[in-house]
Amino acid sequence: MITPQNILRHELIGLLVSVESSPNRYEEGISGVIVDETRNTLRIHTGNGIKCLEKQRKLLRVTLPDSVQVIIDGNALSVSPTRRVSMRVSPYRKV
Amino acid sequence: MAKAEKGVSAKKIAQERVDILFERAKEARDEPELSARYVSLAREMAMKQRVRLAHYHRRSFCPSCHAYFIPGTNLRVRIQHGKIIYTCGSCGAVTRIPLNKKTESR
Repeated sequence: MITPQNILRHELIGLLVSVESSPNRYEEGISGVIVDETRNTLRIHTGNGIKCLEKQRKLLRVTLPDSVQVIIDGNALSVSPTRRVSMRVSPYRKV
Repeated sequence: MAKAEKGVSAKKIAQERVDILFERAKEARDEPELSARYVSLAREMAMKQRVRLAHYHRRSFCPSCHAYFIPGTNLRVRIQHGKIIYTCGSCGAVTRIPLNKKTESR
């Protein structure tokens, strides 16, 4: 089960995501379903095409399958998807 | 230094992620490249964390090109000389699975 506690180590493909903040203001507000993931990028299926976004220096609002929303720091995600499973995670804060 | 979460092992999460990825591969069967990508991600994760792929997962993709099998579309199944023969429609690789293997119980 994907929970806010283990989201950093769990699967992102198929989850709804929207960009909360980014150094590039044109990327703020992009939202859609995550289609693919590499070490440094996410591919998001938006209404008009698939967009490739860098993970670093971004805050992402992710909607979990049980419709809980979590804000994730993109810097913490920038590990290859298969290595994220065994990553050590610091405790999360409730906002 | 932050401690890893207690009680939730990497293997358990890896198993859940493998199941999710195979489900996504099934959903994305209209896009063969995407579903092959999901299968190879799941396989890579299972190998790295040493999680065994379930019997029904192991049979559901081509071991050579990782294409997700859809019987009748990109998979041909024949029985010959006591073996099930899977022929992949996208790369042509042949997988032979022996029938009547008495030692293996499932």
